[in-house]
Amino acid sequence: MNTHKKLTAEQLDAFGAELDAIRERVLADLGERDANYIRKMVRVQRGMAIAGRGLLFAGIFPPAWLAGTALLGTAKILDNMEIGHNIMHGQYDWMKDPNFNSKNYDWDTACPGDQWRHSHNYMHHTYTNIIGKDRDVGYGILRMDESQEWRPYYLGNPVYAFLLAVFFQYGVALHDVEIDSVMAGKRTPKQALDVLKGVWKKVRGQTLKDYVLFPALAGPFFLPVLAGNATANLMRNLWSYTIIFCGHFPDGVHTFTEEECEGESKGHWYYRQLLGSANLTGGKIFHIMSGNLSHQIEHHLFPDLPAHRYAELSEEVQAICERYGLPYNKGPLVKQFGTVVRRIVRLALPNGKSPDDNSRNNDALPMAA
Amino acid sequence: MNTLMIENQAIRRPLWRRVVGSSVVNALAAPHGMSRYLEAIDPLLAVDTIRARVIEVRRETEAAVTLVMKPNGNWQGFVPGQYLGVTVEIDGVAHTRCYSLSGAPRKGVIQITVKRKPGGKVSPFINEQIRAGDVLTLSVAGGDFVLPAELPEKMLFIAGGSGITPMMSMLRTLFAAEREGKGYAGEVTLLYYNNRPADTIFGDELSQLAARHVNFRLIRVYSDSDLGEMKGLFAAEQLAATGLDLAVTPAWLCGPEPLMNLVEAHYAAQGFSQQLHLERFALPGMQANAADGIDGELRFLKSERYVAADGRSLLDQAEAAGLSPESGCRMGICHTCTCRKVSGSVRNLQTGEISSGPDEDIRICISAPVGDVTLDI
Repeated sequence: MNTHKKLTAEQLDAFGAELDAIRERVLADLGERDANYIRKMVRVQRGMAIAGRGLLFAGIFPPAWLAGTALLGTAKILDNMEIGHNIMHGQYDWMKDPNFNSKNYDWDTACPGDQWRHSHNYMHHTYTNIIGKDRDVGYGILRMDESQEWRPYYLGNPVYAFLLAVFFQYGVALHDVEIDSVMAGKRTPKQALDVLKGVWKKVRGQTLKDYVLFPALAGPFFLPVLAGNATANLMRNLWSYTIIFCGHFPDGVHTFTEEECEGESKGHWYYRQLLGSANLTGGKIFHIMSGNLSHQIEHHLFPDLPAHRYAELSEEVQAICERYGLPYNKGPLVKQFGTVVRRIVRLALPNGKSPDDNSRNNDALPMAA
Repeated sequence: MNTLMIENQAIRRPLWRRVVGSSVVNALAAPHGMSRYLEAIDPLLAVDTIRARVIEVRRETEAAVTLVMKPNGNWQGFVPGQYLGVTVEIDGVAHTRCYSLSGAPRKGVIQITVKRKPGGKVSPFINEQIRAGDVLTLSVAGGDFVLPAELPEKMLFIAGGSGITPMMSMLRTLFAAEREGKGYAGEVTLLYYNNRPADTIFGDELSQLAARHVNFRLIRVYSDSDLGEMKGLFAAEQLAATGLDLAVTPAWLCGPEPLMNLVEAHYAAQGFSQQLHLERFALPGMQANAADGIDGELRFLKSERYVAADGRSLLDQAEAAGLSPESGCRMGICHTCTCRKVSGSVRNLQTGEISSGPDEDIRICISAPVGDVTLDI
């Protein structure tokens, strides 16, 4: 991958204005179609969850167990990704329906909604891929960018990555505790403790539901239900980890320094979101199952527009990128995730280079005032 | 003294709703709660939301419609004269308005009567789009514009146009068929202002009621027709013509703003204001437009801070006033700063759009005040 094309301040402004125009057009068009979409998605999700848990009660029969687990796992994925993530972004706030409001919504994972809204909606989406500011670069655990100084600890990079995948929901929850910041003295233990309390409450509720109440309701079939619920949670963990890591860590994704982004213009913000994200190609079901995070670029350009519209917006965005000579990073899941794994392994070593060492945005960029 | 009691029709929620609403059962549906699953089957099954299915849409006049609804088991009843919040969804967006209940309390059925307001959003929708079978979200009933528990000997109702609705609920309660023979023995006078008979909501039913009950006197005042008992706009002589001693007769007033102002002023001038019960269904001075200046007051309710407004974003102004509301990106994308605007108009700094509705959630980082604004922070 070559060093990306640089735009002048005027070009950045024009680029930003074109994306602003798309955003405004969609905002003006929001309506019944979007409301129907998210309501339908919620109905499908609830139906799958009920059917899955029902089938698991007959989980002593292997086909029922498999079908029940698959349905419940799928329901959890939909709940977290296409429904929870997107509602909590405020994509449906305009409906003024308390059940679809970003402030009220919570999802079926260990991470409390309000904490996630802070670390994700604000920190990650505002400071996307700015090393030192965006805590989603390596999540405080992994070395995902060469600019993170190597320490012997990072020899375990692939192991940590694997464990993070398996326990992803807890990883996301603990992300906000910022244990690394506490160690570095940037946060008080009290602050971390408050976050932990919220996480504990959430984990307790989920554990009670999936590992005590539902298995207990099944009586003699306690074990199949317990195993089914655990497998469904694992399915969700592995899948969401895979999709999310393909959003910002495949080859060709750029990172930025704090100096580069000081006082940046709206146009440069868009530019950074574009270069800092990567898309996944696939069919309609794949996009829904990924919460449309397969359209990570569109999501980062327009985080609070309903995600089911990203597919149609992506064509316009690609056309704009072409006109400005900007890269539009996309590829199939296997290819993109392959480059992520390679990066995780290579960066475990002190002299390990990320495969595309030009991706760092080394050259000074012209900034709009 | 008439002792007919108007019972508060408090209804107990059905047992299954109380069980499903319990914390033990809800633990099975964490974090969403059982209602979010039940409503996927039927919206009326939610145990935490009052919803009602429209069972009949009855046209009252060319511009007014009655919705007869069957509420779910979360509905807890009302006292005649009270209103409720009705939420309808128009092009995906929920809109809530308050309407008086127009029927007598009756088991399992409630009704509202809505007059189409020209240029309005919700009332035209209710008049033209709502069909039997539709489901609406409701609030609990509220308001103290009600019949007293112990009924007075004489009552005066003064209604204008759709202001008749809360009084219709009271009249239907007082003269309900099942009360025949043991009903209200006092005397009610209704002064009812309309333009023409064709605009008169409940015109036929009121005439029949007056024909059947000697203790109900109906005085129709039309501005554009001779078919009523009186003609013209409101005048103090009309009150005098009722022959009632206004100083000792409790009165209920509901109608358009000009009528209410005139009657209220008359009562105040006579020194009888304590007899007058009022129900306003339009808040004065709520609307603003882009032409309005930015002059106004910012009221931060929870912090009890009041400052003069300027053209900056509400977030900037809140911070300048010493508040530290939650905020994030300061560019309108992260929704962290969303808070409740209780009243007033704001301009979206990105689109220029003016938003004037009460009780709206707004992003204060991209909203600037237009006139007085009250925020719940």
